[in-house]
Amino acid sequence: MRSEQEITKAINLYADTVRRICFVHVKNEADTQDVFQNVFLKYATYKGTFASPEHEKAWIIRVTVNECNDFLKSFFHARVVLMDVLPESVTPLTPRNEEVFHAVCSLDKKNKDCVYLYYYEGYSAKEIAEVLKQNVNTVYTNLSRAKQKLHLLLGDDEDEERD
Amino acid sequence: MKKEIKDAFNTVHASDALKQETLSFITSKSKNHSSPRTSIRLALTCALFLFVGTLGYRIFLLPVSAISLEVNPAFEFQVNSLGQVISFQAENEEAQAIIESVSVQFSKYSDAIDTILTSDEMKPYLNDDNSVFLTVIGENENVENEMLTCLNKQYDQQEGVHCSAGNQETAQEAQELDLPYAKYTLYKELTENGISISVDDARSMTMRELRLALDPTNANQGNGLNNGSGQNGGNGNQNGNGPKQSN
Repeated sequence: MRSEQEITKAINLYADTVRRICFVHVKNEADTQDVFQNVFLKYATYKGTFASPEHEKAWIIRVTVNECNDFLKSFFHARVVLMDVLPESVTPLTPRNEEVFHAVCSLDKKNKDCVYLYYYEGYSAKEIAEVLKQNVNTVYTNLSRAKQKLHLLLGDDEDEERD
Repeated sequence: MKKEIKDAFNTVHASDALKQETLSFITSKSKNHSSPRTSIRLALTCALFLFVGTLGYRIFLLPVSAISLEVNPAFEFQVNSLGQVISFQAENEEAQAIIESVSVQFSKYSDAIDTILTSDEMKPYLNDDNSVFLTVIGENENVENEMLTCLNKQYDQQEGVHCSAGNQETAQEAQELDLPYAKYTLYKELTENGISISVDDARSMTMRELRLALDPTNANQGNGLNNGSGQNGGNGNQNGNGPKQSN
């Protein structure tokens, strides 16, 4: 197991990233906490080494996405209908923030991750493909569909950067 | 849209409480954590030790055969699969004094028998009146035959040493009556021939005396170990089938 120092450093570096990915997948705080803890527990027990900080971050993101997917496939979640509410955030949300989150959360789960990584983390489609271990063309397709839906929901002009 | 998405996600942070709880959770796991690989290694190591221990026990400490050595002192040896003496007992008081003076544990059985027979303490018992009876009781016929062959070869040149194979059932009966094997077989033969003899009497008699009781005409021929045989073996002084005749 990694040292407490390493684990603490990783938590400080990546806690917000993990939290945000959980935000769009998991509906309530308790489940978010479970996923969050599992991600860092996996980090703590991961025996491999990371080539670079970018490699480490990409690993964390992939594990978080997988943990969220596993949670969503779990027995409990598949059979319990939860209210469609946004999880709590530390900073109070503006109405527009809520609107944006609702729009993002309404996307297919594979598109949510692409949107977050593309718009917030600033990854290119190629980098997203490497992080999520997907085909780059698949990522382009997912991003394209996500953009179209978000435009529809949020009513924005198409002013975003293209790869 | 990009800016709006960034602004929205910028409101989302992991709280200090969440971080602290996660760290505590992981720390507690690390104290109790035994990785599956470590557990498997530990289990395999334990299994290996158990296997080696069991194998070692079966090879070194499990008796697979027994040898009864009867002169007048009587001994019994337990032998492992390597042919080593793992334990031996005195069957009577005379033998007890002798085993305290010799060290034969983990010696090869043939060496152990030789050590006892050539010890100073044994010499007074190895006279012309006494034969040496070696009875081998093995866990199977092959083991028995091998041991008998070895002992026969070892004492081939020495008269008065009798090697034979025993059986488990008779050994059990002898043990129940607290008699050495060869002595028990003589006792049994006596009783089967209608000769009245108690177990206690049999226990206190020498092998020669028992043989004489069974067949007065067939005194043993001396043990050969002291090179003094012949006095009873055919000098004419005591032989004969009928009552003693004066010559």
